[in-house]
Amino acid sequence: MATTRVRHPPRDFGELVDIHQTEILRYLRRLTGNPTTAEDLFQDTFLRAFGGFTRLRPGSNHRPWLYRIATNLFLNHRRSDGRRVEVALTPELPSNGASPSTAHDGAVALAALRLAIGRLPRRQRAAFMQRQLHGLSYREVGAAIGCSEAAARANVYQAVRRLRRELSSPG
Amino acid sequence: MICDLFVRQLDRLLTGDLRVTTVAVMRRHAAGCGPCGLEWGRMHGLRDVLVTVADDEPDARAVRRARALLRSAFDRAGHPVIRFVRLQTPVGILFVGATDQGVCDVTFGQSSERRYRERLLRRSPEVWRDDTGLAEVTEELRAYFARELTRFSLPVDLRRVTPFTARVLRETRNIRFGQVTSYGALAARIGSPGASRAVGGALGRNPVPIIIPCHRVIAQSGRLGGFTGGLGTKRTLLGLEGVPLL
Repeated sequence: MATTRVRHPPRDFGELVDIHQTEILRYLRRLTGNPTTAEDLFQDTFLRAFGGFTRLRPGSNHRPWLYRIATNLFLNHRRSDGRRVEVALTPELPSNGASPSTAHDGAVALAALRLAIGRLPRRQRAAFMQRQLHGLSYREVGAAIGCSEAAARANVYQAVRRLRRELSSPG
Repeated sequence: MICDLFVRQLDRLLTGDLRVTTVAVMRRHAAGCGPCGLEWGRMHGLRDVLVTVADDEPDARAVRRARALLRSAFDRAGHPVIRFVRLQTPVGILFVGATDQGVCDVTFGQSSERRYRERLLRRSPEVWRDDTGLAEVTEELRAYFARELTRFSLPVDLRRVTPFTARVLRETRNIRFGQVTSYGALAARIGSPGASRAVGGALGRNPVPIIIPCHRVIAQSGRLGGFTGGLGTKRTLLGLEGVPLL
């Protein structure tokens, strides 16, 4: 998990960007499956965050707050690339240290997973990514997608169930 | 019955929300039950793929690119990167801030670097002290206070002021070292005779005093008028330029 964890809150906005830029960019790339769209949403996320940063109460948890801004922008983003979005989970296929056939199997499994994640409803996709790949707690997921902790949990489980069904059904 | 339970718990296996003891019970069940064993295997397959995904290398180049784009987006939205210097001058400590376009702020009477930076941070996400990068600013101001320089060549960034204020300030830049003019005369020069009060207001919003010499504008009567840095500073600056005062 390539998440930067810091114990102290960011001293200023620049530090907030330094701390969270990598994970937010990766989150948006994973969600949208499109590096250009992700870059646009990345800019919008931090521009919005800048407006709200000074109004944030001391002791606020910036991380779910940023995920919430990014998620809202993603949810409101016009679907311009058609209904099915292929989710880019990793920039390159795994190649190091794996035998050709293993690498191939891995690539196939990864491609199938990408497609399946891309077919998830957007809210479920966001909740699933936050929980499985970004390590947010259910409470933080709830804060980020704007629902209760229980509803966040339900969203993640629904996503897992769908993925499991999609990936186990032949074809 | 146990199969029902197994299937109901299966999704939580992936999210890691199950107790170790529950996982052990499920593992035992999967070992002895054909269909559940298959599901167990698939779930672990899914988990393995997810692990490779979660371990992907941070794409440093993509992050650098996104950060550069973010910087220009902030710049376009009126929040440019600001670098600043702290100078000791005959009128006290001066903080001078600059964007890529030019000097955007000159502040008098602030002694705390932290507080100055905090103020700038309300309008820019990136603010830092840069003595080397702003050496030219330091040098021109030093030369001005030493009376070696009578005309600043430093560019200014007036993006934050209204068009009217910018017009007043650009005209003010033409007033030469050691000369003074009145609010009314300046108003006439920008083509708004009678707007001397508005001109006074615009000068009061000059973000870059000294470099744009609003101290060279005084009242018709010969009285000093106003100055953001205080009338004492205005008097000192005019004295330095050799202007005889009432």
